[in-house]
Amino acid sequence: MKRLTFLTSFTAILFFMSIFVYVAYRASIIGLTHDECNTYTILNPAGGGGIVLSKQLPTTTYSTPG
Amino acid sequence: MRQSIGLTGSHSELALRFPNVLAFLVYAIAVWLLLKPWKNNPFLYFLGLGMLLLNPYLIDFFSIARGYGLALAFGLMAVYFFVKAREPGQLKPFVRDLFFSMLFSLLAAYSNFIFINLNIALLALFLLEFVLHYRKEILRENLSLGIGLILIVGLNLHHINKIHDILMVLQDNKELYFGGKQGFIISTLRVLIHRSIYLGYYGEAFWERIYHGLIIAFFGLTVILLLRKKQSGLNRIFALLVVMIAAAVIQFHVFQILFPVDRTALIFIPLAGLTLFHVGVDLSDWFSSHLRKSEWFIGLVLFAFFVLPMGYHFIRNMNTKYILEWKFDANTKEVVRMIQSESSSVEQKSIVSSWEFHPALDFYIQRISNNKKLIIDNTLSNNGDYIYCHAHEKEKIADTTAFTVMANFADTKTILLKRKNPHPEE
Repeated sequence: MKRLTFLTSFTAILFFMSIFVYVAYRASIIGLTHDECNTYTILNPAGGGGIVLSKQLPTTTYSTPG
Repeated sequence: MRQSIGLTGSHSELALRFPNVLAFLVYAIAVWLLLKPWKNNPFLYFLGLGMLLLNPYLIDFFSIARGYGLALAFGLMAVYFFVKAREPGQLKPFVRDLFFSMLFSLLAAYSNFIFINLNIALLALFLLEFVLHYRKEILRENLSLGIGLILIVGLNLHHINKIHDILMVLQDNKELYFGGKQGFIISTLRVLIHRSIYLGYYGEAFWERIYHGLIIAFFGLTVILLLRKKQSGLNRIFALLVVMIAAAVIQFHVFQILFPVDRTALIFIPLAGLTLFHVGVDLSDWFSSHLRKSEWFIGLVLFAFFVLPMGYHFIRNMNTKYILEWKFDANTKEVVRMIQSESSSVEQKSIVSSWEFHPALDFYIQRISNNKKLIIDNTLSNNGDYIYCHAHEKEKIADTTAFTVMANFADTKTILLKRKNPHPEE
């Protein structure tokens, strides 16, 4: 019975770790999404060395229709 | 996100998403703790693992920089402290579990405000358990524990009030617009099934069967548990599920708060999974008490019927490109790279895009192009060097003949167009 419990735990840990690696790899490779970028814009430490998005950049212009 | 940037000094995707990636470990620990008593029955154990982990839609949220992954992890930890077995009448374990459950559910609520419902539901059920199983005498005999209990409840109510105030501000600013109006079954259940099917499609009949099966299982279980005398973990988890559903219905009719949809209904996935797992546990107990040597039988059957198909579904939908809810942004980073690679560093280029792509385009233009002055126009006027939009939006462009298709992304149904000749204004 002890061996069975050990095997179950061992397989479960492997299972958890596989999904964890999958989650971490996806987090590193998938491009940021609409909502994440919006959150980033709100939380970004402006002036603290973070990326300053174009809404805060005087050099960026928004062309008007026509 | 801010702390993560501060700690790592990086603005990479992984650095921004790191808290949620770590939250998966908290979620995994909660799953581990919830299933620990069934380690001797591997089929039941893996039934639980499958129910709580093999949902590609749920797993998505541990790979993105939003509060959902954190909230799910803390939420499931709070559920563990509620569901775990306690000896009735012993106040110390009850107060300890109440404390941790309230702590984790508050952390979940601060990660994502919709999880305040979980906190309130857990508090209500803990108080009900107290009224049913703990007498006043016990409280008098354990005065320090009694004071602790009152403090925990008081502090929790204070935080509920605090979050309520924040939610009212958000409601006044019309920020709480995300949700459904068609009732819990249509708005929440149907959409969650659709999202859980993820990128796979097995036909209309398949998902309709799941939908009807879940409704029948829910009402069937309600009747059985009302008639059954035996109390088990199933009663606790099902009570929590029912209170959460009731809360959504009451909030809609009393406070006009919309029904949870998509990501705001995420907590119902582990709650439903845990309920189904406990159905398996109780069925297994019942069978093994009536039939000798049938301890593993029910676990094996449920494993074959649920975990194997769910495992197949999960593996089939594994990908390193999409976050289902924002699938349209799957190629935005690539678009900026393509534009960057074909234009010189001094040229000023303009990209016209739909509003949906604007934040991600903006982010990657700043990151990939560095000091290059790329201009974003969020209308689909013709004044750009490039247009990135949905394929169906192509009709909006006034002079399509001036552009050539640079890339056609079939998966997101988006296109990148490039102006054939230099911009007339340049």
